[in-house]
Amino acid sequence: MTRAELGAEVAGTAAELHRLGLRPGDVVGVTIGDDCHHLIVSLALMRLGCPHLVLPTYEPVPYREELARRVGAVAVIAQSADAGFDGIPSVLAPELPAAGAAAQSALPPLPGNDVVCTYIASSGSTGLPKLVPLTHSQLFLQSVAFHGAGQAETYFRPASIEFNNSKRQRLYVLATGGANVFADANREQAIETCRRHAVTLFAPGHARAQAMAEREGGLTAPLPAETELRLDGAPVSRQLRQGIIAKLTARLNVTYGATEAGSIASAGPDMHEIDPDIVGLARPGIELAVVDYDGRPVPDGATGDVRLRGDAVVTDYANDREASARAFRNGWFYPGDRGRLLDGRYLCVEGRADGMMNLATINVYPAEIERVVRALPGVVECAAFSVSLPGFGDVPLVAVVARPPATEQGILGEARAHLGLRAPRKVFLVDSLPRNAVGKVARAELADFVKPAQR
Amino acid sequence: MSPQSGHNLTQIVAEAIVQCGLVLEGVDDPSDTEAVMARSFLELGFDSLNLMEFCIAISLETGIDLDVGKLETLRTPAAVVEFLAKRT
Repeated sequence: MTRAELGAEVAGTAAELHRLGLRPGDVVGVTIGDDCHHLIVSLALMRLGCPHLVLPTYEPVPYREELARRVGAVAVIAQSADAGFDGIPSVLAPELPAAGAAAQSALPPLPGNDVVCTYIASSGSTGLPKLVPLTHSQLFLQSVAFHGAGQAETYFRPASIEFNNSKRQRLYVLATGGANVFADANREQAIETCRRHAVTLFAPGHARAQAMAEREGGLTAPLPAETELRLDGAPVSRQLRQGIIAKLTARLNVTYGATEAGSIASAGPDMHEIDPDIVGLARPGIELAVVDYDGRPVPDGATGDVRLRGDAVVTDYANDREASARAFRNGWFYPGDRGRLLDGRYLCVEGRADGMMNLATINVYPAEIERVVRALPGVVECAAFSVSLPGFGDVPLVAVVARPPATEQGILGEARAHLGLRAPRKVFLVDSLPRNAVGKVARAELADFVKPAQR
Repeated sequence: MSPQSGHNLTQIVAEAIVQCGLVLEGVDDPSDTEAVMARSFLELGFDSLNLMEFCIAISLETGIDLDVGKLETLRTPAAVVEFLAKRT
């Protein structure tokens, strides 16, 4: 699809949604699993000036309903007529091609740059997802930081557009004049897809990258010379970096980012041996610092809290003053990561300050699991924790002190229904939770519940 | 966990498939373990998310690392049972 064809589809879809009653400023949920259809509807809403929020089809309906209510959605655009959201009208997504509809309805003026174009749900440390409001100008500035000015990439990420990073980065690509490749592919097909479509930026995700780099019984075909492999969203071990460089490409770029800021730093091919935790240099427009508890910069090489600022960085969360006050302080954004600066410029990220888990690039906070499990009948108390599995990251688990009628399977099922992919994968029914001298749950000891065979 | 017999491993793999929560394709009776084991993950309707869940369930239950890339080689649940048997 050319940009002109895409523009016509977006205009047609916008006209149809306008005809159906959507107006600038209306907040809209989007629950469409098909990548291309989802993207076109999202762009149409952005054209109309309707901020939208992804309500992933892979998440349970109650979770999507809660998100839609929290953001104040007046409607939900769905791909099927039977998508029911309690109390929120559903709008059937206009069928494609919708190009012809553009001529039939006058569109409102283009929205201003400072208008919110999308809300992005990011897992919340308090147990509720944080809603990150992104304006048109912030989206564009994040796009430039992601690609570099003047870069028009051909981008391939074999993951659903309903995932946060996947959605944002596809919008970045369009904002900077690039092209998106949509294809589901195993590792060999992925390499062939890169070759066939002259992909310049391939973002396979950690699990796929690891599978490609660790192939047994022979060498994986290398990526085409023009293809850069980019990994983001979770720490990348030195072993994985070396495996990718040895078997796939020397053009490996490890990127550190946040929903609130887009790309924050990136480490190119010449940086991977500097430090095992290196995520590289600040991206254009981002000012980075590592500070102590009082906000004073720590000495070079010392560990502290990472903070950053820049025009692409959002300044608060929607409808969450408590989380906003914690993350946005004195003009800086604190992503909640611990790190070091080397030579005053190379950022190394050591991990989270708040126990956040990272399951296949999906952020999961213990608090959101505990909030759901604690509310179940028979549950006395609980504590979420994780084990690390190669290729997947932190797998969430939960230890529960419970009485009848609570059961392991019942808790698993309810957690799955409310949390979807962020649900614990195993429940440990225990007599009591380990506590430290002041009575707080000793989280480091929770892993002892996992039998050696279970790690 | 003590070394597992072939029967136990078959049970673990079958339960891991159930935990993925998908409606199995290509089999008349999803409780027919033998039929399910012989089909490829692709034929059973697994997508990338289901495969991830399957690997996590197996790894948690057995302590043996299994990644999605490995499943591309093993292809069927029966082959996973054989793979696990060699490592217990």
